[in-house]
Order: sequence, then structure tokens, then C-alpha cells
Amino acid sequence: MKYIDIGEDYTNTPAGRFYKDKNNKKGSGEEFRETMLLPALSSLDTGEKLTVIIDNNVEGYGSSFLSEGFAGVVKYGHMDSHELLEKLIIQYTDPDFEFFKNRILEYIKNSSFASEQYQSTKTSING
Amino acid sequence: MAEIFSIALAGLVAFLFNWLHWRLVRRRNALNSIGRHLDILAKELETNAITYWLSDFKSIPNGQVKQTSLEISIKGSFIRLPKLVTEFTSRASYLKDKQIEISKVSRKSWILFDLITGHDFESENKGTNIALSSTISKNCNYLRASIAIIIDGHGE
Repeated sequence: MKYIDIGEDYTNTPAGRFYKDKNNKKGSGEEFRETMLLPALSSLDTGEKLTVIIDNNVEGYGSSFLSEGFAGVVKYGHMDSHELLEKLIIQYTDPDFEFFKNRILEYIKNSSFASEQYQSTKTSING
Repeated sequence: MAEIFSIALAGLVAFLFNWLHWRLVRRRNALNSIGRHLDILAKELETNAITYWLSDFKSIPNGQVKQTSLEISIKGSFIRLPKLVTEFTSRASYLKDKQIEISKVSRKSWILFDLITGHDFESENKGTNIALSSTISKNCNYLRASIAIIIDGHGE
């Protein structure tokens, strides 16, 4: 079992969809997916799961961050929604975060596999 | 002996009716109270969300501060909204003739989250979006209407 604690390992102010939304400052859903979630998913052994802790030291989320950060894995063709849901455990202890967990799961379920080609918005700003 | 029994039985029945009556009143008042909180929150959310999506913060003084302030407020509302919706729908679940409206309350809260905090929410390059503002307002009012329908006349 591997873990990502968003508040501890990434940022306690997750916000925005793309790198460009934050003018390349830390915290976007795109950055979370590219630098945290995808590497962690890639490092899983067969049958191993990834637990993402969503409520530690984080005040809340917007849909833009959650949909890009989690459903983007499916949308850009890294794995289909079934496989991602098999590998992912969304964990919280604060009951107020159940709502966000449910939204994440629904975004993943509703996302179409490889429906878009990924182009980093960080590159587009720098380039 | 029979008279004493009758009086005791009448007293017991009166007590039970009284107890049931006040139990219903308490349940109704609790539902009304949460419904009112939910209605106020939906109105507050509508105001903040419309201001957010109609404003071009880059063109106004202290725009970045105003944008961040609204984003924090909106995200805070989405901690409160699901909490109140869960409590409200749970307390309203005994209203068998209002089940459709009760399910709409939950569904509208999810829709509002997706609408208000989706798109380029929290983007420093966010533009204005009149169509989205209109959809948000419509859905806030649907939510408020469902709350009113559930509260109105329940328990009668």
C-alpha cells in the first residue's frame, strides 16, 4: 500500500485546474496529477493500492482541482476508470470530506478514456 | 373499579396523544430550522457565485484579493452545504410524499458544486461567464424551491 497525503505531501491549499491557472505556482489539479498521482500509480506493484488522504490539513476543494487531478488520469488515457477505481482508495477522517470523496469517484466514473490529448499548460506558459 | 380503570386509560391515552403531538412539533421545528439555514446558504452561495463569475477581477482595484476572498467563501460554503443537505434530507425522510423533492435537494447540491467550482474556478486568468452565472442562479433557485416545497405543509 502506498500513500499520498495531499495536505502534507503536496499542498494544504489545493486550487485551480491547470498550471496556467496559478501562473505556475504550486497547487493545481494538473500539477497534482502529473507530479504526485501518476508517479505514485506507476510505482504500484500488481494488486497494490494507492491511498490518497484528502482531509489532513486541507480546508476544502473545488471541482476544477478534483476533476482535473483525478479524472484527468482517465481523460488523458493513462488508465481507464475501472482500473483507476480498483487502484485508488480515497481516505478521510473528517466526515465533511465524504462529499469530496463522492465527487472524486463520480468524476472518475464519468470520465471518458483517452478522450483528450494531454498538453502541459506549464510548457505552454514557459514556451 | 371499572371507573378507575377508565379514568386511568383515558389519562394514558391523553398522555400518549400529547407526547406524540409534541414529538411531531419538535421534528417539524427541527426540519424547518435546518431548511431555513439551507435556504439562506443557497441564497448566499448564489450571490457570491454570481459575483464571482460576473467579475473581471483583473480590471478592478484589489481584484486579486476580492477574487481570493470569494473563492475562500465559496469553498467554505461547500463544507456547510453538504452537511446541511445530509441533515435536512435525513430529517425529511419520513415525508413519504416528498421523496422526489428530497432527492432533488441532494442532486442540486452536487450540480451546484460542479457548476460553481468547475470551469476555470481559482484561475488567476479567469474571465467572466454570464451563461454560467445564469445557470448557477437557476439551480440555486431550484434548490430553494425544493426546500420550500418540503417544508411547506409537511406533517399536516
